[in-house]
Amino acid sequence: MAISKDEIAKVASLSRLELSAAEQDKLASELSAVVDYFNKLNELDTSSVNLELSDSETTNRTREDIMQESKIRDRILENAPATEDGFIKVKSIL
Amino acid sequence: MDLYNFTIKAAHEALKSKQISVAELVSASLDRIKKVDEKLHAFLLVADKEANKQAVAAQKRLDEGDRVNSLLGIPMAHKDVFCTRGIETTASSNILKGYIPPYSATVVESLDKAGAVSLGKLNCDAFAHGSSTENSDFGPTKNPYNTDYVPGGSSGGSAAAVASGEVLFATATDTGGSIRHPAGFCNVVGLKPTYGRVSRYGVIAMASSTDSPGPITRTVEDCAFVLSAMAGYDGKDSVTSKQAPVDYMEGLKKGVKGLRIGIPNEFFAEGLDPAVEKLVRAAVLEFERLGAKIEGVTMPTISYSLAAYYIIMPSEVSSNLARYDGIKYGYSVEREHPRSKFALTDVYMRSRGDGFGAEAKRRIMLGTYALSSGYYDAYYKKAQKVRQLIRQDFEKAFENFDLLLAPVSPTPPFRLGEKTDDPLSMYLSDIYTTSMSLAGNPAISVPCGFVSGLPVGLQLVAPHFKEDRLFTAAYAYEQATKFWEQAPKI
Repeated sequence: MAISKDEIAKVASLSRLELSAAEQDKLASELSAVVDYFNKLNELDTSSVNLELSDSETTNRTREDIMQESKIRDRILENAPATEDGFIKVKSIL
Repeated sequence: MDLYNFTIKAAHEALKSKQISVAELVSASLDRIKKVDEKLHAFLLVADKEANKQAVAAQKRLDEGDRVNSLLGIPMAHKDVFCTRGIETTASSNILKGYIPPYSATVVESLDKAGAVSLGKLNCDAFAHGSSTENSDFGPTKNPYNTDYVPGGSSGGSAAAVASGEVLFATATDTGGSIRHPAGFCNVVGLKPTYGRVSRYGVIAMASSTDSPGPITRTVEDCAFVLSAMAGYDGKDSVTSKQAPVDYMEGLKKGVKGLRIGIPNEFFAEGLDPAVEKLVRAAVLEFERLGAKIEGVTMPTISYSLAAYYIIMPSEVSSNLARYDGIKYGYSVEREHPRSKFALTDVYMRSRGDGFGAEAKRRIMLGTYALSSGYYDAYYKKAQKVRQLIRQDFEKAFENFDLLLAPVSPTPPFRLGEKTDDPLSMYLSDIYTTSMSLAGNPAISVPCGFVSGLPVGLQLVAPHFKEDRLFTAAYAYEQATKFWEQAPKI
């Protein structure tokens, strides 16, 4: 089942990836081949499989909500491309 | 014997008895790296100043009487997906070039505490996406046994560094085979611990439900030493097991008499290279000679594990790689074009489009597609149901067997460039390793021979948290065959 160019464009937009026309073409054929391989799974009857969480997975591990000083704020900010007054600066959202 | 050829065991004895100093050992490894890494490209970064500082600290501890810790003063290196505070960590991707982590992974801190001396960061497929280390944005690593061939992946740098004697051990990660595969290709030992045995905190995430950090070493005993230092509960990784690690050294040498080993029939079907099969069948005979009982076993769903894995893993990757957005760290068009008129989405799209390599984009796209509305049930949900069946296959098999035995890779090491044009053919390299990843079971790759001078690995699989059983069986086989002694000529 071939993935159409429209679908590739839509998925690229969802993934926040800017792709060239050449990249999109290549991905369309590569992903189609991989997705075809997925159809192998239709050979299996999974109608009786329950996707419930196991006993060990049903309780969350929690801790007390106590604030601690990380002392690494400056080192975190050093990695950001744009900062101002101790904040990371971003383009306007609204 | 050259110092760089020592096992951890031998180096530890020599350090304890003052035959050598930590400085000599570390110096020998740094010299070895200078000599061979130009040909191998296992290292992305050699941090010799840091290493020498650690060496001084380790020698001090030795002099003060710290004898218990077998990793004290031992030269090693980390796969570049482990965050190392103050030292560049890139996941071998352009999108993290220049990123200096403000913290270290729990595994890094544990090994620091044990006194191991880290010499730097090791090359891998970018974001651990690959089976050959050819997807590194900084050039591939070569196989030390023949530099025209790949070292396997994604932890190719880790395996090549250990095989060539650049370090005495390395850390690595295994999500679908990335420790076992390169270990098999490079004639070294590689362990994928049980999911949840080793903390993933500070490890750059690939597929969060299968990522397993683990050791790559020259020998099985060395592997047990390193796992002892890496394993344990970590409050910062909520899937780590509260079950304390067992003593991996106890029972290591007790042999395999009476051990019941199953061979999954589905793994000895079409697709397995006859030369690899010959070596694996010879290993079966060796185990029988050592006293184990071997029988075939049917595991009907494991042939579907590759398809399930290549749906589930990219889905999780697409989520985990969403954080590389050009805002907080890493490559950003904001840096390249400050004060531009880009909108916020442009910053995301261009930073990610420029920064990510082809394979990362491929997997993000696959995952986003599989999770998107209209396809979620058919692909992701279906794959998760298949995963349950695979888990059950392993549980049923272990009702009648103590261990399972299988090949690691369907082929011997292949040439650089041989599989890069066809992503699906590269994905098929993982056909024998992904089922254990999906089920969470621990598995080890141990050397089992050579095909035209190129190494082949043997895989053993155990029930959850039974790494000690893996070590016992692998040790017995290793001592009987001694393939690890055939060092590369590099």
